[in-house]
Amino acid sequence: MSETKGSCVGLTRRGFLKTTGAVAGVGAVAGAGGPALQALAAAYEPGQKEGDGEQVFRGVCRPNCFGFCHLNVHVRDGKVVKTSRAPYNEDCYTRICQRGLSHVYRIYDPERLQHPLRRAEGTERGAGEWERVSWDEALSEIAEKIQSIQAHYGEGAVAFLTASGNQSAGITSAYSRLIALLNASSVSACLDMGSYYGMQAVAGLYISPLMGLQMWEGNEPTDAKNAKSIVVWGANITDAQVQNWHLIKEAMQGGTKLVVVDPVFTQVASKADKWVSIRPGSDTLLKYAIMNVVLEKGAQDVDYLRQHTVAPFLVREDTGMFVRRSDMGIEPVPTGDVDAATGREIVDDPYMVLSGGALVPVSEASEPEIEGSYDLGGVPCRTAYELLKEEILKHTPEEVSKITEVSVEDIYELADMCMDTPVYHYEGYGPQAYNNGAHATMAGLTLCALLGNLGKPGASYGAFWGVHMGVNSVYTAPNGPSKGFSIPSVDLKNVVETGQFAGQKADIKMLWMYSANPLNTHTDTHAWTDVIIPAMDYVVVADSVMTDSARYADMVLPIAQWFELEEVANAGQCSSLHHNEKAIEPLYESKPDTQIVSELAQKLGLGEYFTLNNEEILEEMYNTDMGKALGITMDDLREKKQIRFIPGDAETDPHIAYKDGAFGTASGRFEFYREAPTVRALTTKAPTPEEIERERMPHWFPPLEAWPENELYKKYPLVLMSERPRFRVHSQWFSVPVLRELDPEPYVKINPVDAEARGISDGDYVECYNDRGSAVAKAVFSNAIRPGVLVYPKGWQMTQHKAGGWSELSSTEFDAFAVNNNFMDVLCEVRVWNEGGGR
Amino acid sequence: MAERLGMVIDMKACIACASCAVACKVENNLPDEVWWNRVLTDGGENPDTPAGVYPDLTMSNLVVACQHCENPACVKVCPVGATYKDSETGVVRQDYDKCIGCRMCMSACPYTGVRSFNWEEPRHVVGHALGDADVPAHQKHVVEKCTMCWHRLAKGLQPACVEVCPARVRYFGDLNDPDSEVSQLIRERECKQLLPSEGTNPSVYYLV
Amino acid sequence: MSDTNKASVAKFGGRGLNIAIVVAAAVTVAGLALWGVQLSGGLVQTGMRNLDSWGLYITMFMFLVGLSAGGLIISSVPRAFGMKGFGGISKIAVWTSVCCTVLAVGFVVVDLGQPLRLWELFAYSNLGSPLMWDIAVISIYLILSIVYLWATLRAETGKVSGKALRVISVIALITAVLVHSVTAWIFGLQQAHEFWHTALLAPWFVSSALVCGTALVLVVVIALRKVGYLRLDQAHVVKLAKMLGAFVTVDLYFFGCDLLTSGFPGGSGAEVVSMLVSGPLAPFFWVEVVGCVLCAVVCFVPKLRTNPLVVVASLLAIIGIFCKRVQLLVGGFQLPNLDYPGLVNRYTVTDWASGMAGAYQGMVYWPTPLEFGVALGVIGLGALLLLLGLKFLPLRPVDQVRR
Repeated sequence: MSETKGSCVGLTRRGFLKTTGAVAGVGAVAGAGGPALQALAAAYEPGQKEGDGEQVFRGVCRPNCFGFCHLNVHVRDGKVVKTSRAPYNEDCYTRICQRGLSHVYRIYDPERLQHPLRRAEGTERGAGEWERVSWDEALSEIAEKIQSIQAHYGEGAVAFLTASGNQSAGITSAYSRLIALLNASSVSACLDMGSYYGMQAVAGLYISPLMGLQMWEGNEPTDAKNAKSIVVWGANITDAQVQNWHLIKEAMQGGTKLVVVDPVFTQVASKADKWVSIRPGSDTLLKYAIMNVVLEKGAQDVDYLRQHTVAPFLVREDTGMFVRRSDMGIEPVPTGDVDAATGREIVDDPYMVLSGGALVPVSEASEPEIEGSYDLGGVPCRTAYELLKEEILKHTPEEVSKITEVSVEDIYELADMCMDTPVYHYEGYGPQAYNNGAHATMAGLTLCALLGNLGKPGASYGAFWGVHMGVNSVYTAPNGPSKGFSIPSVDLKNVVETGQFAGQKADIKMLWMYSANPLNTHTDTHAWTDVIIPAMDYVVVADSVMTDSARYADMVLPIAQWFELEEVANAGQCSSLHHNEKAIEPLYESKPDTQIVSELAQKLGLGEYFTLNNEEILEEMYNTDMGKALGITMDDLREKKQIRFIPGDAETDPHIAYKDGAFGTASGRFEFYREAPTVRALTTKAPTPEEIERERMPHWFPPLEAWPENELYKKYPLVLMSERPRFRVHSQWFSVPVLRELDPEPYVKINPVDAEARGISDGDYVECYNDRGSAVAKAVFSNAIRPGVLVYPKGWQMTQHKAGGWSELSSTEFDAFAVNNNFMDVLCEVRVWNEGGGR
Repeated sequence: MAERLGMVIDMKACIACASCAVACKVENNLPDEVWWNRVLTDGGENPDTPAGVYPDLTMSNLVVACQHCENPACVKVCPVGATYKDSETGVVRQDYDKCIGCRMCMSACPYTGVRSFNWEEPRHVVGHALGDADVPAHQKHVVEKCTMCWHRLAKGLQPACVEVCPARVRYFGDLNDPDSEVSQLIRERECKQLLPSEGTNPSVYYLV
Repeated sequence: MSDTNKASVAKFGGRGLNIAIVVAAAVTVAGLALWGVQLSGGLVQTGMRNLDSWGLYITMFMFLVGLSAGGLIISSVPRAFGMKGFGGISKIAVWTSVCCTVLAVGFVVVDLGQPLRLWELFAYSNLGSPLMWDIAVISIYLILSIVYLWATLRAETGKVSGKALRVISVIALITAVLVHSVTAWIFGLQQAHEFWHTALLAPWFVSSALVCGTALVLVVVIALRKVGYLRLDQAHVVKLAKMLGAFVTVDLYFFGCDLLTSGFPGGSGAEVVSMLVSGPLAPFFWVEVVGCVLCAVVCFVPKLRTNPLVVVASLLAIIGIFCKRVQLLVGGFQLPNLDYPGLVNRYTVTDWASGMAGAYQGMVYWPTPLEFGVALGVIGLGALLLLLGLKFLPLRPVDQVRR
């Protein structure tokens, strides 16, 4: 904390924080162990409850900040009085944050929904006028609607939408069971899927022996300390994933360097050894420039490329496919094994590589060539590595510097750090929030593969998040999976407009949203309010507060809060199952989701399938033979509170992704080149041939909208970026009083240069707008913000804005492959807000 | 020798998450809009903004609550001894029942804003008392401040802000014990006290 | 004494005074009611907040302690040093002192959050607190003033010896000097506020007290002479005016010393100077400086020492010293030691809405109407006391009464 800075008026008079001699005598003599404190403590027995009649329950905080921290839920007189940090089995994960500490205010939030609400007759959706109804009335009406809509428009006309509001086994299995039995459709969230898609495209998926699916694979964050450097790519760790900061800090204290690549000077950037400011949406280019330097310096790990990547594979110029032995006229040999996924027999048709000028099956070549070409009966073939190299050489640091606005020196410095492996690349969801975002992840992983910086302690690229796939798939689909549609949420508008999906007629007429607030946290609010919602005959939202989405519902069901029921949280960064005890009875008339689903099922004539209560559902889910074999029955969970679903131990044996060069891809190798790119999810949009070609390798292409060459840029010259803020997770906690004291209203951060050019003063209410919509918020001058960029903290409800809402400005345009919400691929302009019109 | 309980806070790693502030608020059942523990930004004019011009920027944080000075200015000026230093622990305490509300201590304290006066009947958005059962009820028209979680010390616990800090930057212990973690940190790392020229000798040290 | 004089003297104390007493009583009652509002609804209704925790009341306290000085000093100095007095105005002077002291105490009381706990001051006295010293000294001062007044009255009837009166006057004088010094120390011993933390503050408070005390006595006696309560030789007025001029000059000199000492090193003290000279407190600074200079000019230039101008000069001096008090109080809070931006809410600082930076753009503190109302009520109480004294106590110069 130097004394030199300070736009603060009169900082000089402060004499602030003058160093005391670091060796200042702190008292030469001392009684050991603090006698007074011991005396104070003497009257207190360890383990004693903190107050008279105070009980402590185990809670799990599960908003999907990735943390899934364990909390003590303190209860006095049947009321929660506080939440505190509970010991996690691995001490490095014993933690809590400002959000976890505020739960008591969340539980007793005056905004909490208390009883079922039906949209007042004769009012518009979204008007905010409600009438209180009984549960019986509400569920009868919903059941009647489901039946009539399914009868009219087909079973798939009823759709359920969920996101990451409550990642737990009970709620998920209950809804899944209902959806399967109803053959209803599912609308799946497309949140941060660019990163997921990019990762699985090149590196495949990892499923642990304990049934953990690592959707965002990387080395466990506790491994970061083993790296020489940590490179943070667009991750707002210190706000969005507070829980991980101490691991970074501890790594730094051990000598690891921290580099942050971000257009914004974030809190974590302020802590870094180096901050690299980059033009939003151009991360792929920077990664290519680093790869360019790697080649220039000959730093590529040829052995790794040869052994663990598709580098030596030959690519046919005509089809883009890898050369296999069958291309040489040798028929594939049946193996007699059957692929469980496809049901087809597996045949032996090995990839062919060049070895000493000849084509040999990959398994027979000890040192296959990674560079070279081959003429396959007139079809030119080149190694995949040559194709990558060609692409890399296109992106010189000098060229990339012009576009990314990262200086050539910085590129070289960053490249030097990346080459000095092991390097822990911590990827956030900023770079992937543009239409080209998946390629930033693909390029990042490719950079690591090029350097052999994968599969080893300290060597990693990615985020880190897993979900347990459960041990009882029968419970969630007793009569087989649902025959309804599975529609990505970004495509729902198109489905509603065209009435088609996957080549079939698809009349979605009812939407039930739970653990989700898509009108707020997904892109393009107007797509929902103007197209999707109006097309629905009936909309149900189950939530604990009146979200933007709930406000547009016909029926709002109040759900029990997290600590008002027993649950097993089954996802997150600790890749564990977590047991959440019931601490108090559900408040008011609220009910656990499981109970809501069960009671509704009775009215739908599905009562026989829903005879279990909340606890019994959990037992049904985990007390299976597999559960017993894996050691994760409900008894185990209730006793241990937390059980890892990936091998290892966070402290002594952290998870290492792609260990031993094993990848969950078709080839089992890292596929920086793909012969058959497949879309992440089926949509109404088919990829064009150009997109398919592009998708074979990481490629740089500009964002769809937020780019200077876009014609729209003349009209809307500001890139609208968002941040996952400190005081909310997505939109959760939006109304929690104690946090609203710290963070009372929506604001937008703007560089003073941009503000002053528009006559905006610090603290003015400003309107950020584009052709799709607008949001009014308070302007906060911040030099942390890159000129030409606005940054807004996410998660404010429209009712909390003076007008508009942030998601009004984004679009449902999506990349055909990644099928992702382009949260930041948004241009806008800003002006002083003129209340009551007069633009 | 009496204890001098104090805190060491590593400002190099503090991320201004406000967990300490929120923990303090809940633990002590603080009235609405009352904060004993606050996060300040050493940077631009607005909280959480850096000093400088993009991209040449610096920003650091400062978490401030009562400094529990060894030589507290507040204790000297209180006419009725409502604020006093506990001789066993060195903790500067505040007796709500005694405070006459003259605000002499607020004026005398050099650490702007660490003392908080209840300017009206304390309001609580949650209808029941939160936090620890042993925290005294808040009173209108008296001065209050960080108690070093006195009620927790009595149970052998650390202050709430120290326990919860997700950045793990807060350390608590006896500054008079040369073997304590806090004493070692002060010896081994560069540290600062707030406004040392005021002569108060705070028991809160900041690692910088 | 002439008949006209007798008539005018006899006229005083008639209907006008009674009306004035009723008005003062009404204002006092209204003030009490407002104080009730303040106590029940909370001090949140004032402009005071955590970062500017004192306001108009403590400003008035400082000011009135100063005002109270003049009377006592003027009446006791001549006696203590065996000099010729000011024509028998000493009793009135002392009575104004008593009223001002009561007022000053009143302002401390209305500032308290827990006035019902006032008894604790005596039960749990922390003798190390300058506030406690002040309470002790002010109590003694008040008692002494009353004793001195009583003794003067008794002396006039010959029941107290001149020597005893002189002893009392010496003690009273020392106490008066102490009162101002101790009041100054409430502020001056706080190292937290650079503006206050100066050894000069105590003598400066004494000089300011002499300025406004003398000025108040001048105004009161000229007014009372005008309404016929007493007679006073113009020579006394001139003498008082010269004294006022001298005090004002000394006070300005102290101010000059302080500004120079603060500003010269160019460090943090320069900020104090700029806050006063060109910052948010500049209006109060310039009113004080210009007012006091003008006052000195009137007092020193014989031609200008006409009664109306002397009154104007005295009022300028009083206003000037009041402005000084405002500068001291608000200025003490105007420069926070920790001005880093952070959470700011309606308990933090008076003008909180635009954050820390915004709160200090103008004056950090400004009173609310309620505070003005309560302050007016307290002043009403003082006026009531003064008027009751004039009506019921034998405060007129003895030679004028006896005739």
